[in-house]
Formats: sequence, structure tokens, C-alpha cells
Amino acid sequence: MITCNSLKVGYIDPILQCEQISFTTGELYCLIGKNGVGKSTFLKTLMGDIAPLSGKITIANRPLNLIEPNEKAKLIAFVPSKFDGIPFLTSYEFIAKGRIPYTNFFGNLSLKDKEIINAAIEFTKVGYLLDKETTLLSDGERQLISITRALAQDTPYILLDEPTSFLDPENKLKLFSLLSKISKSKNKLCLISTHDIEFSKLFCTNYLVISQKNKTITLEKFSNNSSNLDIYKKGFEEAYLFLTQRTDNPLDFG
Amino acid sequence: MTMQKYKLKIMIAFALLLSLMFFHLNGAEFNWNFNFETTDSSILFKEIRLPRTLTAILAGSSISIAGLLMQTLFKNPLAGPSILGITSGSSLFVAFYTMAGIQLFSSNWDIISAGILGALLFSIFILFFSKYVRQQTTLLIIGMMLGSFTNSIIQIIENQTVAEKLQTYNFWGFGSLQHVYIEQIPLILLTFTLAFLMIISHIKPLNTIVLGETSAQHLGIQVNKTRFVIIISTAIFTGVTTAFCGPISFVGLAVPNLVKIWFRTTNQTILLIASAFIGSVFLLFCDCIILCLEDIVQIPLNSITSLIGAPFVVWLLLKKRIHDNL
Repeated sequence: MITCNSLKVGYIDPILQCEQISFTTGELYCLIGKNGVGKSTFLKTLMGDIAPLSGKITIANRPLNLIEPNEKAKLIAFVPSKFDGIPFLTSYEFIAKGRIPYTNFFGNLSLKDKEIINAAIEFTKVGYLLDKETTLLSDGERQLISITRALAQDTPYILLDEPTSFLDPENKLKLFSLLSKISKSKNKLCLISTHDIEFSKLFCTNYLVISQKNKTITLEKFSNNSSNLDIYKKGFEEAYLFLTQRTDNPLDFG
Repeated sequence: MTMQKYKLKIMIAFALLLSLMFFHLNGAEFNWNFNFETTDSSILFKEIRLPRTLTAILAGSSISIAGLLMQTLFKNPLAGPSILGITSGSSLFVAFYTMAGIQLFSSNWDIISAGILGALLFSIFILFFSKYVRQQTTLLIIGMMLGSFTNSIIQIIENQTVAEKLQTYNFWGFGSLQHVYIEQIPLILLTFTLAFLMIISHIKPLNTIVLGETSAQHLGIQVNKTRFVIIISTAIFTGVTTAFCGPISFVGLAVPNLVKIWFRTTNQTILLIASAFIGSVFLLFCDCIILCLEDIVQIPLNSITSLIGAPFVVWLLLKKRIHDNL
């Protein structure tokens, strides 16, 4: 379980805050909010890359700032929005890097490491990509192997920063379905920041909404048949107003 | 399966190194021309040829490994000790010592200490800038600016100095492998081994930092410590070589790229060993050309490495444009 307690997030001045939120394993969470509202900053804070300005984050009942880097890497994995590929690095080698926190001094893979890597590859069905160099893959394929690497890292928590941004509709669907499968069948916590509300709705009911008015993160539940507008109402108020009233135009959309 | 392929290639590189080593030891002539019965020949071998060959091997390895490390750390195939201005640091401090007469340590290791200190200081500059620079290209430009900035200072010093001292510095600047005495070889070997062990003991962080610093950090690597170790060992490799042999250009940039294209891997252990071998081969080859043409024309080492290295780098840039794969 990840718990945030009266958190203030930002670099110098707080840009976001939340009272108390807990995430549990086995669930898929979507983090939504306008561009620049601080989604990435929030994820970076959860990863421990930047310290919270105030408040407390606990991961598996341990304060985040007291966990050793190597221990932390066994708890949380991160998937960035875009992986550009690395020259001469094959997909298999890339996925195998997920085992780094567990390997010995020289970084050699044990038999168990290889088993876990193979299981991850089987789960995401990327076997056909293994010998290809990462620079030669498509955006969708690169996103798949990034997620496979996170699986190989074998952590109870996976954070993903807009993993669907550069994908086509089909790959967006595939990715959300895969992540929902990962959280359910592997009992992991997946937290995804995304703008693809209409796709996420099909697989996810837990939304972390960053309201643009008071810069506060709240946890909202939406049923699978709630409309886009229900979600817009919470996180994208101006768009909601525009789409529902179309009279007083707050953003000059027209 | 693939490991086997790499081993074969490394063995080829090693065989190449051995054969060039003997050719170079023999004064770049095909007929074995040593007769150890005579003392003259013995002295020629021990005092002149052996140190020159060993220097070529150690300097070639050092500069190439330094280039590889910079390229890995900065995720940029065009990084290298000379482009990032680390060599300029050595040059500046050697200029201080040889021409301005600034004594850093009162021992006969002065020129060497000056070289290492300069490289270390400029490495720290680059390290400092690298934290605030978003684009790696900017860092290369900063390196070049550091280079031209120090060049100006060196020119001012050159202008004030007497002809004799100027000549000492200029000869150093041409780059050469023949100014190392056999007694100094153990010291170079010692610092080389030290820096190499430092890197080998951080091979796992090095192999992880290939993914970029943020990803490495998320995989539990202590990035700051790794960056520090890489910079320090690069400074030792570059500083020692530059102090003894002058600022050797293009080797650190060209050799690691050549090795990467040949081996097609990011495995740093393999790239380290291969860069050391190919770097030695490259420098031995350049020095063999110098030896062969010795009777016709005296060519400085730096001219040869640049003559071969510069077109190679242009080719590399064109290749990068076409495949976008480097």
C-alpha cells in the first residue's frame, strides 16, 4: 500500500496538495488533470526523485525517504512516457536490466533472474521482439518492452507517466487492457497518468483527479458506464462548462 | 551464443595487437633486426623501442577507454576527452608549468602532476555543467568553448615566454610516444591499473547508466557516486596520457565508436576490453606510419591521429544522419 498524508508537492512553491490518499495493490489507478497541473511532479515525488515540500509518503508501511535506493527499486518500478531506444541495445538486454536491483556485484543474471525475465516476456507476449535493437522498434513496441522491464523488476508497485501518449488507438486499448490484467492477475498496483479518458474508462474505475481550481488531488470512483462528461466535471471544469452549456465560453473555444 | 561471437572478435583484436606490437618493436621493419649479442642493440631495444611500444599500448588504451566512458556517461557518441575540453585542462596546466614556471609540486613528477591536475579540474567543470545542461549538444559546445578559452590563455603565456621554453611546450603539444623513459613505464602502468580497477568495480552501475541517469536511479543505482567514479577515472586516464605523450586528438572519439559499430553491443565490459585493444592497435599503427616515414619527413603524432580521425568522425556524423542509429 502507498499512502500519502497531507502532502504538498512542488519544486520551490507547492503546486499540488492532497489530504490523505491510499493506493492498494491489485488495483489500477488513473491520474488525470490538465497539462502542467503537476501530474509528472506528483509521480516523481512518489518515486522519491524529488522530496515532498511537506507531508509524508509511506510505501509498504515504510517512510519513502528512509528506503535505500536498491530496496526502493525492488518496491517501485517506473515507466516513462517515451523510451527512444538505445543504439545496439536489444530488447532482451533492455528487459533484463529490470533485474539490476537483484543481481550480484558484477550484474550477472542468475537462473532465477532469467526465469522471471522469461515469465515477464511471456505475459506481455513480446517474444518476437527480443533480438531486435531497441532503436528499430515502433513506439508501441518500445512501450511494451518498457512495461515488460517493469514486470521483470518484480515490484508490487508500477508507476507509469503518460504511457499511452504516443500510441495509436489500438495500442492504447491494448496497453490499458494489459495494465488492468497486470494489476488484477499479478496483484500489483498500477498508477497511470493519462489524458486518454475514453480508453481508460473501459478498464479503470479509480481516478486520482487533480482539480484545476484548488490544485488538490482527490480519489474518485467512477462506474464503468459513467460518461466522459462525469469525469470532465471533476478534472477539466472549463471543458465541462463549454461542452454542457456552450453559452458563457470560459476559454474562447469557439 | 552471442558471447561466443564477442569472444572471437576480441581474440581477433588481440591478435592484431600482438602482431602490430612486434612490428612496432622491430622499428616498423619486416626483418628482425635485433642482435642481442651486441650491447648497442640491447640498449636500443631496452631504452628506446620497448618504452615507445609500451607507451603506445598504454596511451592508446587509456585514451580510448576515457572516450568510451565519456560517451556512456553523457549518452553521446561524440563525447570524448578532447572534445569535452578535458585534454585542454592538461594542456593549460602543462603550459603553466613549462612556460610560466609555476611550480605545483617540487619533484621531478611536476609535468605529470600538472597534466593530471588540469584534467581533473576540467573534468569537474564539465561535471558541473552537465548537471545544468538539458541538451547534450550544449555540453559539447561548452567543452569546445573551454578548449578555445584555454587556448587563448596558453597563447598569452606563449607570447611572454622565451623561445626555449616555447619549444619545449610545442614539442609536447605535437604529441609523441618517444619521450617516456623505461623507468616511467611502471608508474603509467600503475595509474592505468588503478583507474581500470575503479571502473571494473563499478561495471554494474556503468552497464545500468547506459539507460540514462534517471532510469539508472530508478533501478537502485547511486547515480551521483557512479558519475563521480567515471569522471575521476577518465581524468586519470586522460591526465596521465596527456602529461606523458601530449594531447592526443581524435583517438578517444574515434576508437570507441569504431568498436561499437564492430561489436554492436552496449555491454560495457566487452566495450572496455575491445576499446583498450583497438585503441592500442590504432596508436601503434599511427606510430608505425611515423617510423616508416621517419627518413623522409618527421610527422608529429597528433597530425597522424587527426589525419585519420577527422575524416572518420565526419563519416560517423553522416552515418548518424542516415541511420539515426548511433
